[in-house]
Amino acid sequence: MRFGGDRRRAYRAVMAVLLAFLVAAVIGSIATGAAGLSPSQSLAAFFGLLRRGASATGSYPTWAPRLLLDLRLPRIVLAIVTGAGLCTAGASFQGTFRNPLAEPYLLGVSAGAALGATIAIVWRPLAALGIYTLPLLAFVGAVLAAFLVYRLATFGGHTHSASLLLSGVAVGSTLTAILSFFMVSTERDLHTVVVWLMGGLSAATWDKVYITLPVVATGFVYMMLMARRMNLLLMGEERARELGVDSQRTRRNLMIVASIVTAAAVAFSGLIGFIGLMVPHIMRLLVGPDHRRLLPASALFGALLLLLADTVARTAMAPAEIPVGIITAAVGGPFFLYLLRRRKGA
Amino acid sequence: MAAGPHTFTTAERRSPVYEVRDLRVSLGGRQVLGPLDLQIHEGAFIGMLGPNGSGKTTLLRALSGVVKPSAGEVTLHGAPLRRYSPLELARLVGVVPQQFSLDFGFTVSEMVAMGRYASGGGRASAEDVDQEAVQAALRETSLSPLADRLVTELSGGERQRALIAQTLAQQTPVILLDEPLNNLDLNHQLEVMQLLNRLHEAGRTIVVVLHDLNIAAQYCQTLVLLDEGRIAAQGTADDILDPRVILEVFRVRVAVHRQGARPYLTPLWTSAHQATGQDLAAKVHVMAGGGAASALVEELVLQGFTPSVGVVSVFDSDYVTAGRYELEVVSAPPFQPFPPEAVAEMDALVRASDILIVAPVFFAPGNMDLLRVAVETARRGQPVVVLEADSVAQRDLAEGQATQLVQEALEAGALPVTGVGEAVTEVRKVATSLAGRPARPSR
Repeated sequence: MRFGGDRRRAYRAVMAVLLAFLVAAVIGSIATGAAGLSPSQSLAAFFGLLRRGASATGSYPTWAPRLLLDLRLPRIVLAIVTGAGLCTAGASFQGTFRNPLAEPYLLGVSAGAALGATIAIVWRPLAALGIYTLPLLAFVGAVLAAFLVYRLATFGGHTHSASLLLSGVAVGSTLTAILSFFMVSTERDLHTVVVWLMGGLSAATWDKVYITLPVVATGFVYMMLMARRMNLLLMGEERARELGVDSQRTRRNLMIVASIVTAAAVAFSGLIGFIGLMVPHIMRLLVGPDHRRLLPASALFGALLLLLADTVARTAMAPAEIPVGIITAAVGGPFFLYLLRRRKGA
Repeated sequence: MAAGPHTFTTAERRSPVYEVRDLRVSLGGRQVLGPLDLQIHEGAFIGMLGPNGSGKTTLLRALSGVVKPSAGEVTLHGAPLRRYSPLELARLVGVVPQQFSLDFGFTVSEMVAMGRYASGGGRASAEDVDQEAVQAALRETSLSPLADRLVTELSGGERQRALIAQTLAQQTPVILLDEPLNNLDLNHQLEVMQLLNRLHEAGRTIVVVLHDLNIAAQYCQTLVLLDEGRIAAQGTADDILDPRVILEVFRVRVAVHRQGARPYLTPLWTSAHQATGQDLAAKVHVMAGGGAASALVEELVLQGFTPSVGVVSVFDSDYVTAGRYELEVVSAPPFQPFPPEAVAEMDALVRASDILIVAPVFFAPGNMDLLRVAVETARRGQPVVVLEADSVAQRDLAEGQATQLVQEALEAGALPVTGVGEAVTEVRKVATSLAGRPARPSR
């Protein structure tokens, strides 16, 4: 994996394997669930759905195709889109800040989203805006936090990675303090806030997919167009500029786009920790740091991981649900540590 | 020591690539560069020199557009630098910065290929061109065998060469380098300078910041010497490697030698003797001639003494040696006996000295006054050292007269020694015994 000529082959192999696993995971996820359908019934209903629509009949209950269409499928697609979004945003943050620790949590973006969501839950008059109140405020909170951090870290036209991370942590702490204040001052909505913060895809609908998917897809296309520039930025703003990249602008735009993608991903699913940090790391070990390969590989692996985690979340303790953020953090943390230590020892 | 605008290169007819007019740069409110004027013509090969903090790097960064002028202007092909987009600039000017870090595991060839961002097409048809440029850059820097190694696993010198290769892959007509020899061993230092020479011969314009004055003198066509943010001197290697210029700018005394057509200099280790804590103010006079005293005089200078020399004929190689270190010399016209004024002048110097050394000179009637003065000096009780007294008979071209005089000097208390080392030891003994005592009054 360390040799240039082999990297192209490694990339193809990794992508093929990830794609195969993702297809398998989608099929597995369709087949399992809390509704009392057996896996074979579920799959038969799925193929019926594909051929004849929601009214298809066969060796399964008549409501089965509708259940798949309205509940399982949007949830699967949302998991894929959210996972891909979080991980491509993570890879972009890490690339533009030249810091493998950069991710939405550390940059205050997640705290901004969380505060927005909490305000939406706690402040009743806002509920008049309907079901989009929460995602909208989470989105606004994330983008505002990103701008604030960026402004605070820019001096005389230059943005330094260290001051970005520091102001990210500072802004994040401040926003979290405000969020905690809201939480202790409301007993009524405390549970709702906590569940959202822990992250979950249980309320997935096609409407949510229709909003998230275009944002994540557009963001991904933009990141891919910027992939070569991101590679150059890994050598620092100044060196990238010497080689022809408008560093300051590229960095600012990438940060905005990555924040928007993060916001779109967390707006409906809550805070799903760790995969945005972990996935680009693992993929860098496998396909190398070139963003032209890292971004697609991270998108695929992020989609696969979140889909697997969410399938576990909704089936492990069925009919009860485990917030998916707990699973990603519980599995991701130790695995990440293992990777770090193994790499050091190698 | 020309100040003000200067036109560079032998190719005066060529158009200027860069024009720097009244440039000033302030960093953190302090003016670190300028006012400064400079023209760089197409095909120039300029070495930028100067002490630490003299503004070399800042000037280079002003040329590359990284540092913005606080006043004045830098124009590239007639247009102000700020009018160029980073992409346009990267197609014209390649930069090898002093500092660089890449902590991500790219391979060497991947890193070098990043240099193609501005020049390369990015389209499929341009891929062959890109590949060719990358391979050529790797070859030029002897990195081809390391092409698949990870940048994070390279040594400091290999990383430095990879950085140079990345800039080469850019294939720009102008290349600016900031101390590109950092971290390189002697072999690769010369390799990089020869590479720059080839690029220069191929018509590229090169500006390189260097620390090593000798390397700059050997390779660069023109040298610019900066001091405290201004151009202290500019011109050929002979203009810049001048002991007076170097003393003024670097506060170091140097001796200039020649290597082929180019000058090179060696520092005189004035600081080395200061470290010993000894007072080496002892006044030494050396009787020289025919090159017999050159090694002794050089050793004395290196040890921090400032001997006076004479009487020697002009054109004598001892005369040349004394001149190189700017020592006090009593000289006489060649091919004739020393005139009485010269002998009297030498006698005065000898009387004011703390120790006299007689070098193993060939003695003839024309320079016999040297030994006569030596005998008188010994009789006065001043320290006299006679080098290689044993072999005086073989150097006696005056029918035993010299042998006789040496014998008289030894009888009067002069000390015979063998070899430069012993002579210098005697000088140091005198210097040590003088330390703490009031200086010998000079007349």
